[in-house]
Amino acid sequence: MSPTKTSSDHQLILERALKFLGRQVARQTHEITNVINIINELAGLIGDMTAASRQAKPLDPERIEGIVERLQRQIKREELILRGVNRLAHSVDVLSGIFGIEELNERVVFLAERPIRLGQASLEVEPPERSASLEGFVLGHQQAVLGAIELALASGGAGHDLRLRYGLHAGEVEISVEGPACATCNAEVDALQQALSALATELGGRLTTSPETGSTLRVALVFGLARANDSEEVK
Amino acid sequence: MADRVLLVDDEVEFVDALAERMRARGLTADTANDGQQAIARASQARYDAVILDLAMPGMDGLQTLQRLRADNPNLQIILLTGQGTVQTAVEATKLGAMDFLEKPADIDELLGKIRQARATRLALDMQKSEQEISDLLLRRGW
Repeated sequence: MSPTKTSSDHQLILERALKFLGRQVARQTHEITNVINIINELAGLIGDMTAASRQAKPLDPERIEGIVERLQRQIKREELILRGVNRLAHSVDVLSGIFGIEELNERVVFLAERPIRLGQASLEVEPPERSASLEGFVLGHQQAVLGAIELALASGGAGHDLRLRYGLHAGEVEISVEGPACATCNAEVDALQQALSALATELGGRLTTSPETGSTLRVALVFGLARANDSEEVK
Repeated sequence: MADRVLLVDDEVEFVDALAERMRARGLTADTANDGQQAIARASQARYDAVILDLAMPGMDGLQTLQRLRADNPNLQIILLTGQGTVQTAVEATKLGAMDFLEKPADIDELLGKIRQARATRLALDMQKSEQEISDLLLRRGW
């Protein structure tokens, strides 16, 4: 957060961030529960097979191996979710710090997985062409980029492809999400856009959306860079 | 005739494992991974029960429940979810769900509910047939 911000600005950012954090933790715990439920059923399957083997039905080693592989896949999935949640939790460690755009992208892609899946959409990511860093509250920036993705999801309806791009120009990063525009935008889309615009401003950036009408919606967040890369000064 | 059940959940591994366990217990278990698929399957076969998840891509569990019940009011639907709240359970019951279970559900409890669903469905089908015969006889002046 910028040092020029007042304590009430900080309060507002923290309140928004807390709500965002709660929502994300709730989402991720659903994912964790899903994995546990799968593990539970696969364990039940092994239990059923073992019980059947006691009644002279021989155990099928290939089938057991298949179930073990399925269990391992879910354990791997669980590890990734827990790592992501841990990272999210540590987003609040530093309220104003320097973080890389690649790191921001990794965090956002993790958080976007569930809403993208539930929206039957896909997310194509075009990472920045070189390293660059932002300065501020990393949780707030995650919230803003995810908000842009959710705005594009709400706008386009189910089953579409979104594109997340990072463009570096003259000491700024433009993080854009493109997807289908809504034919008739509903109140939810308008509310999301207003909230996102306010958040971008609070984070010291700005939001642009274009076009208002037409077939493609482009939501762009622009933030000043902290450091373009090791050899390039901020302009 | 074996109990026939449709399992609907967007977690493919979950629904596949549960279907395998039910088949091992002698049930006929079909699967669907979203609401649209569930509606299509239910229009092609006669199910004793539908086990339905709540949070799914596209059409969610409650919307799917409404559509399934609109197509077949006698269809017995059990919601099986990891995201249950009292409010959702009440809403689901109002929309005609037979029951609402939290994941992970005990397989024997689930099988008990399916047997109950089959009995209810058979009774309702019988009632419907009797009503149809009665209406027919009435129309013919008997």
